[in-house]
Amino acid sequence: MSARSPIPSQRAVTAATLSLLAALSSGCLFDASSGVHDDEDDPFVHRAYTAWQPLPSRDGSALAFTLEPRRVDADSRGVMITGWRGQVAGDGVVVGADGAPKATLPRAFLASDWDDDEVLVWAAAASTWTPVAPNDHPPPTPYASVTRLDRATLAPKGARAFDPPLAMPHAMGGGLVVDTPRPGDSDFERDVRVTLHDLATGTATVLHEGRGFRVATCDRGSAITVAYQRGTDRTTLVDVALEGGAARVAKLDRDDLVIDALVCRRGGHHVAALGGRPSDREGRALVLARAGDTLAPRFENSVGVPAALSLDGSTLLATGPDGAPMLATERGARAVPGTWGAHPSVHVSGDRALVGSDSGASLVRLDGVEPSASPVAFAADRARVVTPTGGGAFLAFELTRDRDAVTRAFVLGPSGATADIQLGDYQRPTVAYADAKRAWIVGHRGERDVDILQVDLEGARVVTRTPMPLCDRDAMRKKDRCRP
Amino acid sequence: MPTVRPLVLAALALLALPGLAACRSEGCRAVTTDRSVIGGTAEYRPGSTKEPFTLAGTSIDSMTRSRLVLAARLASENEGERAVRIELEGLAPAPAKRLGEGPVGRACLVLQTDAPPTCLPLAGSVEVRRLDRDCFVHESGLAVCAENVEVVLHATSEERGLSLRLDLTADKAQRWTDTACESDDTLL
Repeated sequence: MSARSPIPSQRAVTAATLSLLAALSSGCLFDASSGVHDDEDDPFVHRAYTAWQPLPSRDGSALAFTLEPRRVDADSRGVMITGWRGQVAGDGVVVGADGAPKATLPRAFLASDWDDDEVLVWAAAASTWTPVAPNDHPPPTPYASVTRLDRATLAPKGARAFDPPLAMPHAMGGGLVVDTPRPGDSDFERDVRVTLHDLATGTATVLHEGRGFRVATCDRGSAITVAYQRGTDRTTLVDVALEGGAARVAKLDRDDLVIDALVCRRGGHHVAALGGRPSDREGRALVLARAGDTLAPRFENSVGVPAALSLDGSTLLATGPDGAPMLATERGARAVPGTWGAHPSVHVSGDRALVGSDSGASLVRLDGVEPSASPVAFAADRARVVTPTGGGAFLAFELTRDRDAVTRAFVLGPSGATADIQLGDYQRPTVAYADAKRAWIVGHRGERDVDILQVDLEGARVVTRTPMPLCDRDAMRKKDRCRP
Repeated sequence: MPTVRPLVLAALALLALPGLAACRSEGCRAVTTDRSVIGGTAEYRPGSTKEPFTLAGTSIDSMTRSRLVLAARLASENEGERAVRIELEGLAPAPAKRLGEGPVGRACLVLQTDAPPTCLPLAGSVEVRRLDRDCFVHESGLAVCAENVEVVLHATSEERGLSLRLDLTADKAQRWTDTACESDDTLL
């Protein structure tokens, strides 16, 4: 769940500031009474923008959005800005891609999640924040309520409030949600509680309670694994699988292991726990299989992040002790031709992993054949944004180095074949949703215009191009609402 | 920290300060730094690791005549770094005083991923030998200051299973390049 915020470009120097500069350049401004004043309409010190979340229908053929009006205002003294104040400026709304309103949402930071049955819109327990820089996003906050939408029609079907709020809810299907601690490091020992919530009845069932430090989670759709560090060198893994509306919990404790990350696949039955052994500071990965009420190690090796797991859980692409890519299986680990290069990243789709780094990109097979890596031709002087679309394919953008303008968009198939998409003149593209057939892309055009592009990935062409329904700036600033 | 609107800072550096000089106090736009040192040791032990974090860098973040903020960077061999903001308030020139009995201190640092900084109360003592600041403030809000700091801090914090120990001496000496500015009653 992440907030997406098309932020309008800012006029950097106001007329008043220019007046000040002109006066100063002439030598003296001590008696000036004009100076700089904070005009209510100055878009630099009084900012308004729309944060949005995508809400895809079950087959991806329709897309709705949550729109969250946000204001960020400067605390100013003359030309000096001493701080910023941010707030959600009014209730959120759900609109279709055509802008038609579908539902009203609480005035709060919003996030979306979905399973096969429902789209869930989570409203945080906060609506104000203190940005250090004006474009800073709000910090993560617990979620106080959820609005449920039917996944097929995107029509509202109810809401539920939570007291206390949920830390990190995961939609598991069937109107069930598992709440886990927020992943990440902690310098102090914190509560680790895993709770099952039934959205229809409002009942909450605690599935596991403990205390620990670093937490990692991996969501497989109808199952989720939570790993947390106990003491300075032990880890507990808790795996929750939902079967027939009931939760089955498996637990595994490991000594001399501290987890950095969990890697798993949606719909899969395996999870890879990657971390290190405190005793010898060696990277260590443990691939675990969930069967019945047990979570059992299937194989392990001295590899670390970044990593990707095959669909069947039998192969782990990970980083070897010398920093080179390796394929680890029950039979041991074998080197993948080539190197990660600096700052490697791994995207996985079907049984293909796209491994990228500063020095190039390769497509690596994860489906049990001999280790192989096929080079993928990206322009060397371009930034890359890659989105897995499923079935071993990827949607890729090449961008100018400032990550602004799109210079190339293409589909990369599982064989390594590419098909270019004539996207048009867009900047800062965001893939709102993508599956094997289609993608919905939000892109900026010029200073103010934002479009939604529906792309047929099989035909590599843009099917529709419509204006993005954003909140109205004047309404946000003057009426505390999204729409006029 | 206060910020200035984009491009304005650079423009003011080029235009405003010569502008000040042209209008009145010739030379009160420059200070000379004789010393700027923060010495001592620090150690941080989070509950999540046996590996301590030790002092890797410090600076004076901001100050007034009753407040001093230090920025410290603590690093460990394998566990990364922590940025710590040490805030001391209620300060006045005096021999060593216990924190909480007039002066108060806290150390602020991020304790969890994506969380805002948490401020831990400090116990111990602080000695203020000198803490003064002469500023020439333009109506735009920009200021030029000569700052003098001699502060000795011995403090600890034991909260939430964390342990922090600070033994620091901040020593900064600045003066106006033009000595005539020292007696200028327009200085704040």
